[in-house]
Amino acid sequence: MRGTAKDGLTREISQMGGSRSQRKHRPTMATTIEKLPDHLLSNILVRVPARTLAQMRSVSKPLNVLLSQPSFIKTHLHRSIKTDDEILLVFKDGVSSEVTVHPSRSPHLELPNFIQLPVYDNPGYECKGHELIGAVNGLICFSYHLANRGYIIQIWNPSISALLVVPRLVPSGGFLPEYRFGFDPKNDDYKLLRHELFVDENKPDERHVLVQVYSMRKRCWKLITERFPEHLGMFGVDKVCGDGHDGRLHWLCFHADDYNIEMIGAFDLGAETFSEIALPVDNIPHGNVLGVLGGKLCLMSCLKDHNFEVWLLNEYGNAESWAKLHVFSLFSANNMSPFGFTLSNEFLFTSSDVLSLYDPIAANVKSFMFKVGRHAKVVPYVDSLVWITPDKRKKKRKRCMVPSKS
Amino acid sequence: MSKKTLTLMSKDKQLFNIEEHLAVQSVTIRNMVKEDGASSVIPLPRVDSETLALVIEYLNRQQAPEEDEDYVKKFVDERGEIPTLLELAQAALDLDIKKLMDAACMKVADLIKDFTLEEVREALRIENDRTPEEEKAIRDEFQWAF
Repeated sequence: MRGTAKDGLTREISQMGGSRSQRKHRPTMATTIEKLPDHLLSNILVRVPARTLAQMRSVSKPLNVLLSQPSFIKTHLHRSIKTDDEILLVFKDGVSSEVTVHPSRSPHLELPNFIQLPVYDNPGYECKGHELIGAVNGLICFSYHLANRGYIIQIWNPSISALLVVPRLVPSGGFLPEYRFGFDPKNDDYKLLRHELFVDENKPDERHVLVQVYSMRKRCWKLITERFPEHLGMFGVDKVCGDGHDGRLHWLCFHADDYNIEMIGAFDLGAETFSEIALPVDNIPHGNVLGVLGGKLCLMSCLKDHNFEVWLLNEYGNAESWAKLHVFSLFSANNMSPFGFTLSNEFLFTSSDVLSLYDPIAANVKSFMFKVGRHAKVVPYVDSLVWITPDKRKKKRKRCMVPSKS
Repeated sequence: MSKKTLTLMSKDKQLFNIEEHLAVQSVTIRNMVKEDGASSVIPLPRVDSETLALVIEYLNRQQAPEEDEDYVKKFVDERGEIPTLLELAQAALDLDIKKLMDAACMKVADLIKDFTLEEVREALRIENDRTPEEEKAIRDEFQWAF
C-alpha cells in the first residue's frame, strides 16, 4: 500500500492548483455532480469482492475501464493473497474426491456451500469426480473425470465463475500423462504443462518424454522442443500446488539412473527450458515436499525423531544458498508426513493421515480433525478477477496443434 | 519546552490547531513541515472544515498501539454515511494517513458490495452512460458473473 500512498501525495500536490481534468475522453459526463477521483475509486474498489466487481462492470463505461486495468486486477489480487483470513480448499483424495472448504484460522470448521465445483449437466457426461491439477492467483485447474469417457481439463476462476475447457490432445500412445499448472509473468499467461512418457518395448532402457504446454492466452497446445533432461526423474506428487507462481514449475524427483539421489526438476514457463536444483544435503530423508514461503522455494522434510526441517532456497537456482529456516518437533504426533505450505506461511502436515496446520510464529498446531487420502491436495481460495481472454492475432493460431475431436 | 502547534486551514478557510507531533502522522504534513520548516498555517485546499474536524479528532486520539486497529474501525463505523466516508477517505488519501484511509475505504467497500447497480452509481457519484442495450450486452459478455 506504500506505493498508493505515495501516489496520493503526488496527486495531491499536483492538484493543489485545483484542476481535475483527468476525464477529457468522456465528453458525455455530466458536470452537475462532482466525480470521485479515480485514485479514490480504485482504493475503495480493490476492497470489494471479485464477484461484485464483475457485476459492477455494467455501472458505467469508465468504471469498466478502471476495473479491467491490469494494474487494478493485480492490486486486487495482491490484497486477496495477503489476507489474514486465508481459506483453504481440501481435495481429500484423487479422482472423485470430496472437496471441503476451511478457514485456516480454525481449520476444523467447515464452510458449507462456499463454492461448487462446475459440473457438466449433459446426459452421457456423468461426472466421476474432479482431480485437482494446480491453482495460482485464484485460477484453479482440474481434470473433470467422466464415466467411460476419460477426462476433460478445465481452468476455473470461482470468484467470477469463469470456466475454460482445455482442448483434448490426439491420443499419442504414451503413458502416465502428468499435468502441472502455473503462471508465466513474462507473458502474463497461465499455462498447463503435460508430461508424457514413451518407452520402446524393444529397448526398455530408452525412454522418451513428450512435453506439451497449453497457453491460456493463445488458447492452444504447443510442443516443447527442448529435450526433457534424461537424468531427471518424473514428476512427483505436488500436494499443495504452491508452485508456478513465479513462472517456474518444480517437482521433486529421483535421478533416473540412481534412485538414491533426490533432486528438484524445474521448468521455466516463459523460456520453456528445463533445469535442476540440488537438495540442501545429500542424505535428506525421502518423503519431502516442495513449496513456496514468502516467494522463495522451500522444502519440508520429516526426520525419524519427529523433527520437521524446513529449508529455504534464498537465491533461486543456487543450491549453496539453501538455509535451514525452521526445525520443529511434535512428539505427541505419530506417523507424521510433511504436506506443504500455505500462503499465510503456515506448514501443513499429516499425522496418522489427519491433516493439520502448524503456525511457526505461535508454534501451535491446528488440526483439521479429519483424515485425507494419499492423493489429497490443499490449495488456497484466492478472491481474484484474473482471467485471460484469447489473443486476437490470428497468425499465431496457425501454429496450434490440432486438438482431437473426441 | 512547550509542544509545538501547527495550524491547518480547510478549503472554507477555517483554522484548526493541532500539536505538531500528532499532525505528522500525516505523511503529507510531515513532508511539508520538513520542507518549509515551521510555516505558520498549512492550507489544505481540498479538505472541507467538517472533514478536517474529523481528521483532527482522529489524529488527536490517545490510543495504545494495540487498540488502535479497533479504534479506527469504530471511528469510521460511527460515521457510516457514505458521503462523509468518501470525504474522509479522500482527505486521508491526500494527507497520507494510511490506517484512516484503509478503514474508510474498507467501510465504503463493505457498504456498497450488496448494492444494486443503481445504488452503486448513486453512492459513487457515477453517471449511467450505458444504454439499456449496452447494459444487456455487458451482462451477456460477463454472464458468468450474474
